[in-house]
Amino acid sequence: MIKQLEFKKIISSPVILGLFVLFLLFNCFLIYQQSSIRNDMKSLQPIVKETGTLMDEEGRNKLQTSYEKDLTNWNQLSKSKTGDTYQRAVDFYKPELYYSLIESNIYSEKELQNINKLAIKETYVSSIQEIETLYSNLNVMENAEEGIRLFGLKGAAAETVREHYTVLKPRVEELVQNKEHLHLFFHGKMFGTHSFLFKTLFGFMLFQAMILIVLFTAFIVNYEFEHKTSLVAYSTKRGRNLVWDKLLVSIFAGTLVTVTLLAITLFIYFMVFDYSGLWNVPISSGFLIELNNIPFISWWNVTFIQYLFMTCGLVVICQILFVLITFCLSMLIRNSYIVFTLFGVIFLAGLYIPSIMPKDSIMLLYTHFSPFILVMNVKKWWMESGVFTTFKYYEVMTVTGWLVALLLTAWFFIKRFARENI
Amino acid sequence: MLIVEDVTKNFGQFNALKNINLEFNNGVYGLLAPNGAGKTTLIKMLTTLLFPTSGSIRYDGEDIIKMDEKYREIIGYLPQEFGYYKNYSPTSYLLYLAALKGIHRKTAVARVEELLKTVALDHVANKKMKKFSGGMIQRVGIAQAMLNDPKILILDEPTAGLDPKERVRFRNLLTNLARDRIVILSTHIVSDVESIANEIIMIKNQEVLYKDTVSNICRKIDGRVYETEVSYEQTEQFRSTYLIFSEKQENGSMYMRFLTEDTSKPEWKMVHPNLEDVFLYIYQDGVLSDDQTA
Repeated sequence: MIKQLEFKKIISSPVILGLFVLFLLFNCFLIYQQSSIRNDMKSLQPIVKETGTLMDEEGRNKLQTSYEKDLTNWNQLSKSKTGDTYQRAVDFYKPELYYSLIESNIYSEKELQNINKLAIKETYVSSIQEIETLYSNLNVMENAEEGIRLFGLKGAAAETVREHYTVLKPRVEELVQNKEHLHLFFHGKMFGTHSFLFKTLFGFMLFQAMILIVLFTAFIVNYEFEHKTSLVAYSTKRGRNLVWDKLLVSIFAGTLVTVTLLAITLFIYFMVFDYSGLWNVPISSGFLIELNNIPFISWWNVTFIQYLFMTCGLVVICQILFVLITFCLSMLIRNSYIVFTLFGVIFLAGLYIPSIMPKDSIMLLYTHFSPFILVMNVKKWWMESGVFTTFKYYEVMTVTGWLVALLLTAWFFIKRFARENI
Repeated sequence: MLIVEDVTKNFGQFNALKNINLEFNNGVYGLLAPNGAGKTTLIKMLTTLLFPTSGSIRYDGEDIIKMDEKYREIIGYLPQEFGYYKNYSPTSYLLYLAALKGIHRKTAVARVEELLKTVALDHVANKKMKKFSGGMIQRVGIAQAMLNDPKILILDEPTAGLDPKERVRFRNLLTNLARDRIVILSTHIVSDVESIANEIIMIKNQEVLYKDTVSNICRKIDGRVYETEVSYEQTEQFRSTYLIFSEKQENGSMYMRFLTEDTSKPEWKMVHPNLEDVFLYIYQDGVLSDDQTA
């Protein structure tokens, strides 16, 4: 009953509710802005239906045959209309030809859509070779050395990075052997879906949930002190054990807010962007590679859907960490505005501290094991993510360590509060 | 029985209370002292909101800190500054506090209804408290203190904001309640406790000065309190000579109530001292310094 009543305090706060709705609308706006590419993205589903996702010898032949057939059909059409034929579909878009063709309305809307689909198919066909070449020449140790040189790492720090990239090496070999990189997925260079979903959308959702969580945790923990009801509340039978209820309710509400925000936003995202047939594509697919040409090398062979759930799970755990941090701050400072500000300062300090660490110290790497750094790079969770965070269990170690430390700190503050003069 | 034994409370270097020894049985106890004398500190220790620096408080032989929720379950407390949630109605606020007091929802609903009738707030039971007057809020506070039918009812300045009619009704309510429980009423308003308290506790210099019945306490200055008429011209001199308890203009002269150790004069009329006289006598330093400050 008490927990229900504490929860009611959160959901009856107009600020929390208002912000929640505002954040959801903002996420819808982000998705809407990106939605112009949804039709082009949809071109992949018929291909996958025809050839499957794996572009091994067999899949590649199927795709090549299908592409050639489509190109022949197109050339027959174009020959009958303009007398032109094309070696590649993309040649249709050469500026010197394309604009005059469009202006003269030779092709119907449907035909233009077909050539567009064909050009996209062609991109997939031509990408396979590029991907194979990239992965066959891929040397993660070179990437490590490049990173070490770029960030000026020395001594123990540089050695540790080398060690961890050495651990990654067999995984790359395994990935290639499994042909994880050869599975069709939305073309990263064309659509950048991984960045949009896991960097932009998840990044915003992380911060939105964090803002809500910090606000309502500070609000609920200090509620009695700010409303001058602490003397009445803490002299009741439940007394100071009320803070246990507040902690549990904050964790529950934090989880609920995060899950709801994720569920609604992702539901809308996947309604707009059709991922059918691609849920089980490995996340290390070479097709995900974006304009920076950096491959996504996950530590384990996980599919897109598994990766999505793993990421959602980690987002929820990160938010629980933020609940605990805010709870501890609120037990120290009885003013929710100061707690909110202080949380922001701690967050920024968490991001800043690694930059002041000596470049040859292992501490430089350890300071990256913080939820603040973690949430800044959702796009690279569970995979090779640069010299500072490429540890096989980086995410698990970070959240586990912080979870244990924060639970102990929260327990200490609760015990201290039990003997505190009010 | 509630026993306060050798309780001292320090806040850093500041000594708020020292060596307090008190014993409470069923009945009304008036904790009478000027503001800042340590009444609230003592009350907060009785409600486990503050912890004694030394000494112990025991209920039926058991330390109240160790009793934890078993002790808090039997107390009702109205703090001096009673906070409330302005967007809650009295009913929803009392139901929330009832949950904190471990009262089952079904029992609480009936109890809240009954108490709101007792404090004459049943007609606004579901109205938001933001529009309530100070007296109405105080009545909500009194109701919440009685929610769990406490064995120990502790009220800190409970009559603040109540009008005279409400004060009378409140005193009658307390007298009824005190038949089978301990009622500790802290106040600096003498009239609040004079007529209803079985015993008065006076604190001075961080220590308990008196814990006795009203009549026994009044006896401390028996034979030294007089009333007389003084002409306006003599008023100033009279004030500087005697300890004045009250002054009233009447029939072109000043009617003075005062205390003196001097031999009685024919124009003086000896009167029975009341609790307010004792209060003013005991705390005359504080009263004088307050006056001087003002």
